[in-house]
Amino acid sequence: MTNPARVLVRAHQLRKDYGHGEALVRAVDDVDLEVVNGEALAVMGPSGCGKSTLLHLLGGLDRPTSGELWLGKRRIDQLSEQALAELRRQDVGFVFQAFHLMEELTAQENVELPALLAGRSPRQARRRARQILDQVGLADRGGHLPSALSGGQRQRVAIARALVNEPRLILADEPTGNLDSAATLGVLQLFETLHAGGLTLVIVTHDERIAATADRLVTMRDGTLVDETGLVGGTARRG
Amino acid sequence: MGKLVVIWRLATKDLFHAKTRTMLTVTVIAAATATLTLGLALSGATSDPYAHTRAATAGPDVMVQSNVPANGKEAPTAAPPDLIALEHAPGVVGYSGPYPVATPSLVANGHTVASQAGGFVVEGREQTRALVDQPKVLEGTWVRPGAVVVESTYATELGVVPGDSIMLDGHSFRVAGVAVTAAWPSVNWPGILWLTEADARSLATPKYPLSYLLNLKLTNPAAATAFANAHSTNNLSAFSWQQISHQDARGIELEQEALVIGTWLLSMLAIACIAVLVAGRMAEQARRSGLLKAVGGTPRLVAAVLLTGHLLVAFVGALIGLAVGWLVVPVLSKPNDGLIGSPGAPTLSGATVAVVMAVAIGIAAVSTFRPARRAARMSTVAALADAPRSPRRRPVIVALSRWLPAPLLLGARLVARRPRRLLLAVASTAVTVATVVAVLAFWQGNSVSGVPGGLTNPVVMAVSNVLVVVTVVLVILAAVNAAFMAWATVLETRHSCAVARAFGATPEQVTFGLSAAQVLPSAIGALAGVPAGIGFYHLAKHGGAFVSPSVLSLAATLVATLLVIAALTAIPAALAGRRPVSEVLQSEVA
Ligand SMILES: Nc1ncnc2c1ncn2[C@@H]1O[C@H](COP(=O)(O)OP(=O)(O)OP(=O)(O)O)[C@@H](O)[C@H]1O
Ligand SMILES: [Mg+2]
Repeated sequence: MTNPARVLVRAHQLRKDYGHGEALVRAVDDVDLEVVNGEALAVMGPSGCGKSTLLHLLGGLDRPTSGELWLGKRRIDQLSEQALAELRRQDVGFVFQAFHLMEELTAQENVELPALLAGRSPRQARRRARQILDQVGLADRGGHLPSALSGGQRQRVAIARALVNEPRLILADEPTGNLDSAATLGVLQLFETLHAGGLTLVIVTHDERIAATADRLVTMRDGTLVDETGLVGGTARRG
Repeated sequence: MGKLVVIWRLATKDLFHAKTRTMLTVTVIAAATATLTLGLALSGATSDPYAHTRAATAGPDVMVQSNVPANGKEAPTAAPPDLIALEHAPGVVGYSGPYPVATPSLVANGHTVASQAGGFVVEGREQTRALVDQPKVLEGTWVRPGAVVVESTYATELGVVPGDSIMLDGHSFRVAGVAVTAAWPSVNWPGILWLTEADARSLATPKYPLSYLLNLKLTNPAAATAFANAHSTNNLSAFSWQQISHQDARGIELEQEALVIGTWLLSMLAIACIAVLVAGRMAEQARRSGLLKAVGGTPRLVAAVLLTGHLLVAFVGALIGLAVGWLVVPVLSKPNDGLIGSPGAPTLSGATVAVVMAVAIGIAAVSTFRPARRAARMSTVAALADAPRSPRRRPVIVALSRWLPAPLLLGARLVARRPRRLLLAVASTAVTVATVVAVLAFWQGNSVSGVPGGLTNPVVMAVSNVLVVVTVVLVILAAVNAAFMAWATVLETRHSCAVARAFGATPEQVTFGLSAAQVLPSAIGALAGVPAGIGFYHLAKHGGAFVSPSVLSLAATLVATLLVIAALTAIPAALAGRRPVSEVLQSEVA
């Protein structure tokens, strides 16, 4: 059992069902999981095993059918949609395989958006967005529309957007799934830097290389966690 | 044969697949065709009722009335000499009168009307036939001592029938009959009662003395207006039959004008609405067409499928529209009682049905043309890959909206992606508010200058009915339009909304933002609709005193409009907001 004070995410008997009766799909099946502060956790498993669903539950994008979910000292599985939105705004940052950037907004504007939603002044939001874009190596691309960026650059913009409100937890769903190996490497290095800076990461991936950089790897099958490995090669845990 | 089955199956499947859209399109076409039906049916029913009445009653070419002398002067006990002199003026070939005209007060059916206020006049007549202006009795009999004949429009207004009784200056008179005349306008004018000459004279008082009325036949009826103008003096007021006829026709003209204008507005709204519907489906249809072509369909097959779908919708819409029009026509066209030969209930002729169907089919053909051409020209691969039109970047809106609160920031950006649709929404609101304001102005204008004694002029009622029906249809169409546009906006911005929510926007913020971003521009449209509606009304009534609905009713109209738009835009957004974000993001790749 991990020191409770250090646990950032705790899932207990977490379950998510889709549909009813014959068509019932148990996408997440009684999952117990703890992620400690500063940890990088990789989630792997075959397609359709429930990885994305689990990630969405952890970040409050969807509500579990049953079970308990804690973020820090706060129980979040029963929160209202309003409260979940605030949670996503303040505490969690998402990175998606499909980037999900807004096509009509420039990189800079995409990154600014969560900051503006969080009530920062436009000036603060702009400054913060510049700073983060610089951090992900896209200082000179702020004025570009997503359509004018490469896949790797788009994903770095998406990561910058996830970071703009300084969340406690980054959830990434196959962040390199749409990228070639060079671009994958860039994103990988970025995650490592973030991790080294103390950020907690949960990354769903099919990519062994990404998994190898994590502190810990869990494997899912049919909605359950089947296997848990502490990876030797992982970056040192921080507390 | 097999091909026909395929076309039919594909077309109907598509319609059922996009149920809401199909229903909306049917509604829009039905509304447009219903109004068109009304317009055609009513305009087909124009006869010249005044001419019929004039012929049947030996109507005068000129009617001359002596004015009651101003206070202080002694009232004449007989017709003034200058009036009598007209009996043999050059150009006069016949006359009747002079008849005494009294202005008593009246109590009938609980209504109390002071004739002095211009509510009606009492004309004293011989019991025998007059050469000029012998009112035609429609019901009952002509005047006899102690009995009154009431002009038909006024009888309707008072709600009296032969056998009832009327009190004139406290004396009771039995209603002998109901008649029509061409010597007085039957609308927008005092009512007329006929008594025997003796009875009429008995109603004279020192305070309200008699005036006298002379009906003239001229050698040249066409020059009657010039004659009337030449013989109007301080003492005499003369009116030509053309002037009287003009007054009378106004009622029917107004009715038709209201309908014509209403039909125009409706058709514009309907076409705009259909344009939005079709444009909204283009991308989706291109993809379907690509799919069809990929499995071996020819461009012609694709076009046939599109056309079949649109034709079906147009046909069903037109049928409903015709049915509604057919039901409403009799309600609207209550004939003007004051004239014989006035239009009865217009019937739906075969021609009307044909025109309505042709218009509906035309709409279907036009709305098929662009998607069909596009589908035929586009390469199959491109059609398959065709994403919905990607949103245009609006740098100014994006930059400005940064300074807005979060909901408005989101709303402004999302709604600004489709400026044409927004413009249409604004225009639709403006047109609707303008119509409502014009109707309010009409009511205001006709209650201020209306008939004294709290009675309602039947013609005003008829016009009012037409206006109400047109307005109701217009409001329904505008609401459908607003609902559809809001719904399309929600569908299109679904992905962006989900992304915004993934990064912390609440569903309430998204809903409020989307709704506000559509309500605020509509508010401008609504405001613009107020002067437009007042202008509209004055245009339709060809000048006259300025009339404006009360500030209260205008404010109520604006508030109600904006509340309805707010609800119509908020509901689809709120419904969409109930879907979990993850589901939207999973199912849609940006
Ligand atoms: N909205 C939904 N309705 C019904 N079933 C769903 C829904 N979303 C996901 N599922 C089902 O839940 C299961 C888990 O889906 P999930 O997307 O979490 O898998 P995954 O592990 O992320 O797969 P992949 O690696 O392919 O992304 C699948 O069987 C899927 O069909
Ligand atoms: Mg997945």
